[in-house]
Amino acid sequence: MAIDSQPQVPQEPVQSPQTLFQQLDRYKGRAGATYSLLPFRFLALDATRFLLTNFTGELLVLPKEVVRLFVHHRLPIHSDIYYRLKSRHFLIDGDSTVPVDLLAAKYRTKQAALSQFTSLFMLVTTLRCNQSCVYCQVSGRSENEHRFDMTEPVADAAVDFMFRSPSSLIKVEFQGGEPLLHFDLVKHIVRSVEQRNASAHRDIEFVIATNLSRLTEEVIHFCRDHNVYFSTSLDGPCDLHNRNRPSFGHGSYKDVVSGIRRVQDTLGPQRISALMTSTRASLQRPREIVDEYVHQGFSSIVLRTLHPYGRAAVLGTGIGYSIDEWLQFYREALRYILELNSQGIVLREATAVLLLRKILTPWATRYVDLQSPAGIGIAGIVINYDGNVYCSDEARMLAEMGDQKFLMGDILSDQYKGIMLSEALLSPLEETLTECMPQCSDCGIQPYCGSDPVRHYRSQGDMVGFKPASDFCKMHLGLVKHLVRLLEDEPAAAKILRTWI
Amino acid sequence: MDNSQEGCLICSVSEWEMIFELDPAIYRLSAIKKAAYKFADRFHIQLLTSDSGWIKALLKSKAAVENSKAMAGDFCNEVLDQELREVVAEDTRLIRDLLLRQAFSATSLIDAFGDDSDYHTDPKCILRSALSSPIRVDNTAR
Repeated sequence: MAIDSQPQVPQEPVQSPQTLFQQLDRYKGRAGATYSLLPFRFLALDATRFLLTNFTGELLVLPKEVVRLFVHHRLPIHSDIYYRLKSRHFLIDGDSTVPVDLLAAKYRTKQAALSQFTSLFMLVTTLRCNQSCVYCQVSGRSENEHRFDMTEPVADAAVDFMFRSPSSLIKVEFQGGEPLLHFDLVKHIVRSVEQRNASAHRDIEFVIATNLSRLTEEVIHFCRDHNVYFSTSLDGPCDLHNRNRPSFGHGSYKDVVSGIRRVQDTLGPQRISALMTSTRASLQRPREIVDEYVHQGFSSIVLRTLHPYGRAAVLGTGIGYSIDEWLQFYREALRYILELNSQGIVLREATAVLLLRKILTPWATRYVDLQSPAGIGIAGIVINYDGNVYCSDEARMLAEMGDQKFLMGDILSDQYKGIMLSEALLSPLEETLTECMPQCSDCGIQPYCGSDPVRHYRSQGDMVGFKPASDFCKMHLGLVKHLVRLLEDEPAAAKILRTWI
Repeated sequence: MDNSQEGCLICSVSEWEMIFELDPAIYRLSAIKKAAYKFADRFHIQLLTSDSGWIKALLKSKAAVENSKAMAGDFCNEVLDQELREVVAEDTRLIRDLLLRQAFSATSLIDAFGDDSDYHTDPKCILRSALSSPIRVDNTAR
C-alpha cells in the first residue's frame, strides 16, 4: 500500500541525496528491468520495417530487427523505442496493472457499436430505373414495370421492423432502381417513421440514393421540410460520366450536375454527397475526376472499385481491372487531393477518412464492410421491394442474380426475431470473424479491416474466403499500407491527413 | 544456396518447383503451415517429414515463376515472420485472455475490490489517510 497513516516528521533539516533516495540498484528489479509483451500483430510494411498494431489498434512502425529484439525480450530498456512501445501498450513492465485495465477499456470502446445493433435500413423502393449504367449492380427494370415497386404494406412492415432494433440511431436509405420514380412511397415512409418516432425518440436520418434526373420542386421541398439528404453518383468529367452512366437517348451528366447545383443552392452543400465508381476508363484520369468534384463544390469524394455483381459481373472484361491497377489509380488520385489540400482547397477522400479514424482514434466506425463480426445484418440491413430481407446490399444484388444464399426472411410473414436469428445471418457472422479466420487472425491490419462474407462467397464460392487470392484483402492491405507510409514518411501529407479525422 | 537462413535450407529452386528443409527445433509446424498458406495462391504445397526429422516443404508452381530465387528467399522470410508471430501469440496468450475477460466482464477481474467498491465507504482508506497525515510513497511495499 502506498499510503502511510502515521505522520512523518523530518528529523534533520537537510539530508544528502544518498540518504534521501534509495540506491539505483534498488530499482533494477522493478519497472523497466524486465518487460512482458502485450498482444500485438504485425506485417511487413516494406523490406526493412514492420507495421505493428496492438490489441486495440494502436500503431507503430519499427525496423524489423528492433521488433525481433523486442519479441525476444532483448530490447534495451529506457531507449526511445522502449518508451514508444510502452506508451502505446505493446509492453508492460513493473507491477502496475493500469495498462491492462486501459487496454480492456479501449477494446470495449472499440466494440461498443455492437450493442447498438442495426442502425442502417436500406429500403429498395423500386427496381425501376431510367438509366442503364455499365456496371449496374442490381440490373434495374424499365420505367413502366411497376410490379417491381415496393407496396405500402411492405413499407409499413419495414417501418415496424426498424423500430424493433435497439439502436438509438435509425438511418433510412432509399435505394433502387431510382427511388424518385416511386417518390410517393418515399414520402409515405418518411411520414410513417416521423409519426412513430414522436413516441420512440430515436435519432432519425433519411438519405435518398438517386441519380437526380427526376429532381422536381416537389422533391426538393419535401426533402427540405423533412431533413432528407441526397446521395448521388458522379463518375467524373462529362464524357466519362456519360460513358459509365448512359440515360436513354442522352447522357446523364447534365441532369446530375444540374441536380447537384439545385440541391446545394436550395438546401445547402452539406445536404448532398456523391461517390464515383471506377471503370477501366477511369483509371487514366484520376486528376480530372478529382477536379470535377472540386468544380461541383464537393468537399468529399469516395473513390470506389467495381463490385462483382449485376452487369459489372457479366461485362467485367470490358470495364474491369486488377486491384493493383486500381490501387495505382487510388494513390495518384489521393496524391492529387493532398496537393489540392496543400493549396487550401478542402477535399477529403472518404475511404481514407474511414481508415484514418480506425488508425488514429479510439472510436469504432459503423462502416458495414470493415467490421468484425461482419456488419451484415447487425449494422445494416436491406429490405427489398418485394419484402425480402437481405443482410446487405451485396446480398440483395446476389439475389437479383438468382442466388438467395443470404435471404434472411420475408418482412410480411416473418417475425423480427426469426429474421435476425436466421441461419442466413448467423452462419456468416460466426464463421467469418477476422479474429479467427486464416491469415486475418495474424494480420497486422486486423484492427482496421473487416469481414465481407458476401463478397467472398460471390468471388470465391466460400464465405471465409481464401485470403492469399482475395481482392478484398489485397485492396485493404494496399490502402492501409499506403496511408501508413504517408503518415510515417511524408510529414506534409501526414499533417493534412490528420486533419481529416 | 544464397537465400537460405538458419534452420531453413533451400534445397532446390526452379521456375516450377521449390524445395525447402526446415529445422523443427527452430520453426514450429504451425509457423511453416501459415507461411505455406500464404503461398498457396501461386503454389501447390506438400509438407513432409524428412529422414533427418526436418520438415520438407515442396512448393510446385501453378505457373512458371520468373524470379524463383527471390521467391525462395521470400518463403524463408515468411517462415521467419510466422515463427515470430507464434512466439508473440504464445507469450501473450494468458494476458490476451485476461484482456478479453476484463473487457466484457461486469466485474473487474484485475482489482475487483478497488474498482467495484463504493467510494463513499473509502475502502482503501484514502480519504482518512489524506486528512490525518501527509502522504508518503512507500517504496518497500513493491
